Amino acid sequence: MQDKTPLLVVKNLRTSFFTSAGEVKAVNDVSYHVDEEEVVAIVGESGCGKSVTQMSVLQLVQTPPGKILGGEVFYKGKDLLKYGQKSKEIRAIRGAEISMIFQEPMTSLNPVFTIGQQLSQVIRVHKHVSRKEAWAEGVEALRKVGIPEPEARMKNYPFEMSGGMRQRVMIAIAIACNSSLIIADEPTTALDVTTQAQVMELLMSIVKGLKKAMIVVTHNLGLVTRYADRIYVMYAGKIIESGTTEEIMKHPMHPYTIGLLKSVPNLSDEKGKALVPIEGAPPIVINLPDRCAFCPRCPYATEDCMNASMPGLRPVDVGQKHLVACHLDMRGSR
Amino acid sequence: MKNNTLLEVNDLKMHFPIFKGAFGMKAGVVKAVDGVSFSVREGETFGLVGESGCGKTTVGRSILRIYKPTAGTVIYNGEDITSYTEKEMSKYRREMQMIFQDPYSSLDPRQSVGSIVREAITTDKNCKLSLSEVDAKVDELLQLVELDASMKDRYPHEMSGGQRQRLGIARALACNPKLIVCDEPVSALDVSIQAQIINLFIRLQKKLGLTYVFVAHDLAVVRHISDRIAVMYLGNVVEITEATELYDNPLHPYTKALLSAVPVTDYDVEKKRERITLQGEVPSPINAPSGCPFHPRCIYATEECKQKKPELAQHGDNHFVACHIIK
Amino acid sequence: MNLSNVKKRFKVFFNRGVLSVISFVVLLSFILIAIIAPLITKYSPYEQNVSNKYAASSAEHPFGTDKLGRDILTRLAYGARISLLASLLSSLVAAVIGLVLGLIAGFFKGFISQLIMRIADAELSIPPLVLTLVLSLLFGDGVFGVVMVIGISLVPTYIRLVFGLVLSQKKNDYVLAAKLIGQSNRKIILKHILPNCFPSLIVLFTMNLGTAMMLEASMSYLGIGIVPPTPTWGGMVSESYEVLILHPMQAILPGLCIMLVVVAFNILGDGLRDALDPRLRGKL
Repeated sequence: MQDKTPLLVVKNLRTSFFTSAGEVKAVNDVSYHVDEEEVVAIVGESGCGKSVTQMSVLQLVQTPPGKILGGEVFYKGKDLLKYGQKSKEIRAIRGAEISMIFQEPMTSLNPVFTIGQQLSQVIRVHKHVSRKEAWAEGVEALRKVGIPEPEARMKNYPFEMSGGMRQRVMIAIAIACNSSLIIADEPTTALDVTTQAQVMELLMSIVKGLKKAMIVVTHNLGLVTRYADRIYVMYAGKIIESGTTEEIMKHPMHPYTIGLLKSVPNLSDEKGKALVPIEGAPPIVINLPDRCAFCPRCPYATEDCMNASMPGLRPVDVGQKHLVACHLDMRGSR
Repeated sequence: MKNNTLLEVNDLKMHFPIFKGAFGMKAGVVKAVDGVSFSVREGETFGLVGESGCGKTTVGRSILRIYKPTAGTVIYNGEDITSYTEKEMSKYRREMQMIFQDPYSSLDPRQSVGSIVREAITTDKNCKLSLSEVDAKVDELLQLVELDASMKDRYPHEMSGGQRQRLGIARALACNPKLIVCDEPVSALDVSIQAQIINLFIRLQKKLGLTYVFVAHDLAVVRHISDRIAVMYLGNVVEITEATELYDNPLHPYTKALLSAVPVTDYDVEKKRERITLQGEVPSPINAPSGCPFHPRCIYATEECKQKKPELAQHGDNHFVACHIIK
Repeated sequence: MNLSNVKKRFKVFFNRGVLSVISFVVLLSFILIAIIAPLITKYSPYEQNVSNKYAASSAEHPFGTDKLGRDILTRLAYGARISLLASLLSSLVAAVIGLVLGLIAGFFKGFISQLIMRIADAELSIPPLVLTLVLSLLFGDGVFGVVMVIGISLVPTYIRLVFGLVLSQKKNDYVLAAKLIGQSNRKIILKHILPNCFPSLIVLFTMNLGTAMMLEASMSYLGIGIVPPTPTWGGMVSESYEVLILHPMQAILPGLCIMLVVVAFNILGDGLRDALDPRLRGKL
């Protein structure tokens, strides 16, 4: 099988926040890639660094206290980290080439401008078109994301729209700018279940229909199962498992992934099946010792795990694309 | 399972007036709850599920008489408490407790863990415990919710979300409640913590014989913990049935859509599932549609649905649906 | 509150940096000066010596003398007594009245709440100086009159602050939780709402200490405040304005005292707010 060309390659990315309590290694040597037309999910709990990773890719991390310490981010072959934080090049990429969709669309839209003003402004920043043409393109984009009466909606202010509608506007911006990569950071967490389904179906139809790639950052394992092609699981600033969705959902190999799957209530579960929670709480990533960060919560951890240094990602089986960062061989032990 | 009814809600309506302008003119009403009936048996968990704005929280709060219902009755322990004054309510106050969604705002930031639980013990007018007995009770309650006794001197901000929620549960338990309304108790927690709290709820119920009204939007969570579930849409209950039946055999078109919108983590099952994506949005409860509240989004809607509001009718054992289509 | 808590609070306060310590020392020394004023100088603040007016700094008079030949150091020290006392008392009067009315207005909806808030609004709409003029007719001059006049004119700011705080506190679930465990309204206000209002109240209080000091000076200037020859810092500034160019120190010295105290109170207020906040106490 011929590999697809990677659209985005992140190599050994490290981002830290320097606080009075110490260095928070939010992103600690993270590598991943996204192919063309691929939907990749980054899964983890709050504080695991999944969002900061995406912010680092676009250099949107607030400095100080944050700082990108190293690594490479190749987008279409160009290393984005070589560009300055405020450079023309990175600004041309943000929004136009790579669009971001955030959890709370209310805060990513300016409350004092109408949807139309914001939409056409973004279009005019990235394309050389007249005010009128930009407006028309905005209407078209709103129509494509299924907003009824797009002409009238252009004159609405963000607060006049529901959460689902605002999220559609954010998607419309991504369409209007013809981005190749959409980074959706918890795009549906603030939305209701049926609205979540609407927005995700819309996003997927756009990604598939317009041949875009997408990174979904989320904690929702069900969402990932339904929509993602590949999954990266993050814990305490590191990727601890990666592979195709089918592989990871059917044969999770990291104790953390296994634990997560066992602890999330599932609609298809037998009634009365007990949940097996992961004991303890996710660590605060300050001054963590050099060992597997999941060790203290891991039901399988051995003496060796406590003493050995941080495990690197390795293939589960020789030649496999399913990678796991664990000292133990979890095959068959579940 | 015991079969005595602990709580009965009959045709409950809760309408909030909207005031506008400088003179506070009444500009309309929000029909947050518009005719809801169900009963809860002693010792069971009754799930109330629905999307935001469906009125599930308002139902929960009306049961606790935080609101005075506009119409209908709330019968607790065989007594009609609908129009009880605060004074009359006081005899049931401590029997009916609530667990809140936000473990941050539900704890006073200036109170230590010990003082929060202590306050809940000593506000009881019949409390005749000595100081050391109260302290022992605090320890006992903390142990019950699996919090370390060494946390007594901590403050809420020094605790994790899960620990805070445990503390909220301890405070409720300090009142020796019979009925606990849990309002989205796990939705603000991390996924790996949710299971801990859900399991705690189940353990406490077995140990103390508690009755829960479990209000949540997460179907999987509600199904996991509940014996029976009511699905709400726009201030109305559209379907009530047993938890297993709801997933195996949903009848109302809205329930079907709601279930299909929740992805499962079982890969093979997920890939085979039918997906129903609803069109449009939930209408505002200020001008709710006539007839069946769901008809504008329902693909089966007929003329009858637009005219007449369907009543809950029995379809099979313990299965009630409010829909004209289902015969 | 146990001892270790008090210690922790002090630690938070002083951990804020050098400024906290300096402001603490400045205030302490001014209070000390006010108390031991008679020990500092051998003069009386009223002792005139017209032949020696506007004297320059000397061993006899470290800060010189004023237009009536009174020792400026003496007047500053005695002035500290009056100025500190007047601003402290008037702010206290305002805080207590404002707190009670604000709590009532915020916690109980309805007619009384509306009445309190409308009166507060009405009072805020009157220019402060006009208000003080009218009020001073009511209370007369002298320290008591000044304290009441300034106190009452500061009340509305407290009412509005407390009203807003109570409303936002009431939205928190812990107030509802307290109600559900059977706590009475009175206890809820005292145990839960009031303590959570204190931090903002303390900040407003210290800021108002400065405002009160300014108002007191303005009143002295207009001749409706504490009447000469009683020494006050505000009064000293206004007395010296005619000779500002010729003898600038006459105004600068009492002005400096006012400024130092006002700034110190503000830093102290910020420090107290942090020290009283359990969320910050742990972070050492």
